Amino acid sequence: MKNSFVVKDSIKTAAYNLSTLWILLAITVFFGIFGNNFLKGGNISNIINQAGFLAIIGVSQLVVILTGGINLSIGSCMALSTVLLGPLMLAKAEMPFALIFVMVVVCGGLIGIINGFMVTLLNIPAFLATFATMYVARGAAWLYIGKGVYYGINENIRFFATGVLFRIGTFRVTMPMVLAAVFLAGMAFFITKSNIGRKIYFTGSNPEAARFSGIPTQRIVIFAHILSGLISGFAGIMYVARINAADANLGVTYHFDAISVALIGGAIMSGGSGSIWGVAAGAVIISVIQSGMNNMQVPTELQTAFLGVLIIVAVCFNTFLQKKKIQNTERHITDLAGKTVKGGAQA
Amino acid sequence: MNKESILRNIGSLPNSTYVFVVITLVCAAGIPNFASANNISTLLQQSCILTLLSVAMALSIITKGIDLSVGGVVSFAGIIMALLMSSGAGEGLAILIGFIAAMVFGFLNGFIIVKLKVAPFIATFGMMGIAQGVANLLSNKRAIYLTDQAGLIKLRLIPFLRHNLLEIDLGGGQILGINMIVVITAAVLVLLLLLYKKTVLSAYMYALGNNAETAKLSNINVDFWNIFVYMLTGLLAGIASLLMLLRLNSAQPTAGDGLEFQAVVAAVLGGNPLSGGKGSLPGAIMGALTVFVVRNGLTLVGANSNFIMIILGVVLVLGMIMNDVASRGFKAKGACKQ
Amino acid sequence: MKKIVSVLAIALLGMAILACGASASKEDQNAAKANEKTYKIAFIVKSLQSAFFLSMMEAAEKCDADFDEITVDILAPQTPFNIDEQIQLVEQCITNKVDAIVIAPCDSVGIIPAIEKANAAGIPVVTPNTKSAGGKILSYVGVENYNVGYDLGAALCEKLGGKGNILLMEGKAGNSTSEERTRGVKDAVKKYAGIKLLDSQPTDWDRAKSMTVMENWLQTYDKIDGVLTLTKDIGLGALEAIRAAGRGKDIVSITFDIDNDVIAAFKSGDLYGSGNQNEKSQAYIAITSALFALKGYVVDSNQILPLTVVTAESYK
Repeated sequence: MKNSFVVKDSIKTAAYNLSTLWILLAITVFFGIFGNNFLKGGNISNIINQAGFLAIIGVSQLVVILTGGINLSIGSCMALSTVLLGPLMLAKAEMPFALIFVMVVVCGGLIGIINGFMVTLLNIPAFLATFATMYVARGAAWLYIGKGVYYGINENIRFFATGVLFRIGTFRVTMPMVLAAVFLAGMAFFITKSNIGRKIYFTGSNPEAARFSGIPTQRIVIFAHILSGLISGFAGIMYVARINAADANLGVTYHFDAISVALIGGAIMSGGSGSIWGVAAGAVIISVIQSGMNNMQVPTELQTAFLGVLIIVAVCFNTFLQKKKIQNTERHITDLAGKTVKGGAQA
Repeated sequence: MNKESILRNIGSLPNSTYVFVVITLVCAAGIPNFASANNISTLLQQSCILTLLSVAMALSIITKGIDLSVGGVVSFAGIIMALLMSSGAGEGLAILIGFIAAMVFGFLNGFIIVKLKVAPFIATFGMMGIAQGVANLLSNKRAIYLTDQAGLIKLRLIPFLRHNLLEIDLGGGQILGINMIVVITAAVLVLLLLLYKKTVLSAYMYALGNNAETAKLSNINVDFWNIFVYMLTGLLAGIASLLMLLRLNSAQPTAGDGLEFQAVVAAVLGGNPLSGGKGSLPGAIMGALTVFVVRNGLTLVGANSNFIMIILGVVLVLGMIMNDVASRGFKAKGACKQ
Repeated sequence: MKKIVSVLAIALLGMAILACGASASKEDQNAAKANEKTYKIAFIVKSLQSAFFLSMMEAAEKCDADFDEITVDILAPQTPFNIDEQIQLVEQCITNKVDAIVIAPCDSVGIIPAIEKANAAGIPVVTPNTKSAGGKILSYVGVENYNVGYDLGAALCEKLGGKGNILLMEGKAGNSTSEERTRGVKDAVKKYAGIKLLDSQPTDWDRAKSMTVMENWLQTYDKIDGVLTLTKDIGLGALEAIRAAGRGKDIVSITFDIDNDVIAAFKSGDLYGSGNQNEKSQAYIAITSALFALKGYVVDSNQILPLTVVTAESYK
């Protein structure tokens, strides 16, 4: 009797925790019913494939949001780090993938260091510092590339963004899916289990307390910005491989996409709250919406409006469920307390 | 006047004033034509829209919020005004309805933030998308041109507002023109600053930004004032939208794109930290003017536009450093003598 | 005192940067042409962040190098396709007393106040690429965006033999170039009863976004006969998606503008055709027209360049 009660309650708590998944389920069902053959294997594989790319830039944004900051330079950072190494990525350069990958990611990391130093040592708010970097990096990318585009990327590099590993019916398991899954799992482990990951959360939720308990908060913030830069570099190489061209125009509006993904995934701007799996769910939600709206031929001008409504609804729903969860836990505690008292009386 | 009191007086100016003064002097000294009357007239006219939006942003930032929907509202309210004007409604009425629509958007922002407890960044980020979408939907994605030649409607107010109120001929082809756009902006800013300084508004806003709980305990109707601030922000975006309409003599569904981030940057540069609870409206004005002085100066020099992006980024960072140094330097000296 | 010194130091740094920007663009030109009679011409494009306008700028620089008597200043708004920033640029040019303004307006209607200001200041204005709906224009050089859409639409429908399912990728919602071309395509498609326009979506002129939209379409529609994209960046993005799905042989793809990237796609056989509006000629002719007018020669007020649809056959 008592056991089933506890099980039921913990299921409830878990259900409240998974608010983003409920939203995902709701919109998937919606498009499944009203869409045109929306839920076939090929389409689902397509959506997950696209979500993999979005999830990477979402995580890049999340690690900075967790410290209470924001990174507006993600798109520019992607463009600058890939454009600088663009000539080496071409098929005719015949450079090994691993070397290029490391160089691009390090390049992103260097831009992250600049952001981190501006935010901590120079005491500039992250919004403004990364906005400045957005301008500087984009301008530098254009100055460097002059008037052209690097197209015809090395096939070995392209394989990581376009390769298909195997098929199950019409469902294709692609390289980006596997890469994104490994990346997300690694990041989730790192950010929740590692010492430095926990410090990032602590710094974001209460910087004062974190400082007093001996955490080097400045170094943590710099680290988060570097991490964000590294991930941006990774995202950059993935996108370049996907579209088969490196140009300075890459990702002009991706800071919007990155923020949307993180926010729908449950991150809170003041920091300290948000999860990697939430971001993953957020990325899938945006891909489902984009794909579903293309599928249902929603008039183009309504797409931004719809996304706007969804962001607000998602967050309201999240808050609602969290409140329910707290009520539920409180009731559970009172119930348990009541039982103990009763038990005591019987004895 | 002794040295301390001078320092104290300088210290009481918003920090961004120094940034503004230094950069303006640099430009005036180094760039031909910058300090000419013609250029100053255009510079003032160009910076009006961002100045209003930057002040609007400062209002929401001081109460520990942010309003990212201002750019969307600029597009949206402009389309409403232009549609009404071209359908034959009176110009005054059209402008009024445009302002009301902008305030309704502000109210919705406030409502979502206060009643549905959604964080301001997220709520207004969502509303930005909605405003852009509605602007495109209403206008059928096309610019609406206000003309008194092709159309049957005779516009009077709009052409009047597009003229220079005052022109002072300084000789040598130099004319200092004060455009109605500048006059409107100045009037709105003066009214706003009076409202802000002379009423309870500023006290309540700082209270909200510093600690909403304490504000509630001291009998401030927190919900009401919060919504009020967002309606005020919406109204300012509506006025900016009218200025955009005057400048373009037409309404564009994408006119306000990207303005929200520029407004945040100008407000932050003007000494309004995003953490809320402090800040200054005159500072926000200085922040917006600084951005335009740099842009204007660099274009006059004829620098490659890629260079402009890089230099603008660097100047923003330098400006923030100067802000910081100034607040520690002058302020500390002024304060310790009090 | 220390603080004040540091403020001054920063101010100096700012000045140094300004000086760099100034000298980089001025000195080399002034030194070379100090003795000549120099006309200053401002060349304003819609965006720096687009290969198309970079191509126009290349022609403008060529023009600057070819004619000793002109200096061409190239300007562009920082926010791509932002009309208010473009108006600001025109205002600066007037302040700077340039001899002529050559501008590709972001919006035909929104630019009018700026053109009127230039007219009032007596500065001739030439508009390559996009027309201005008002004001006094010395000359327009280019093709009609509506015709671009119409011709591309007609070429695709003809290639498909007047029947089939087609898709259209637009630029950015609310952008006048995109809307004009879209209107043209839709009008052309109406002429062919057998052609069905399945859907039309915006892509923000972004290569990655167009690839995403195309992937979604490939999943939604089993039978697609043709895809029309309004510019080559989004065209090549769509082409990547079509190639990845292995449906290149079934889908006829038409885009607009030509560069090496497009020629490579022609050679691989995946792209059927592309419209050529000779953007380099537009820029070059526009600037030289301004020069001729400044020298007192008469210039045609409407220089419509031929719009040609180039097909893959020309590259075999």
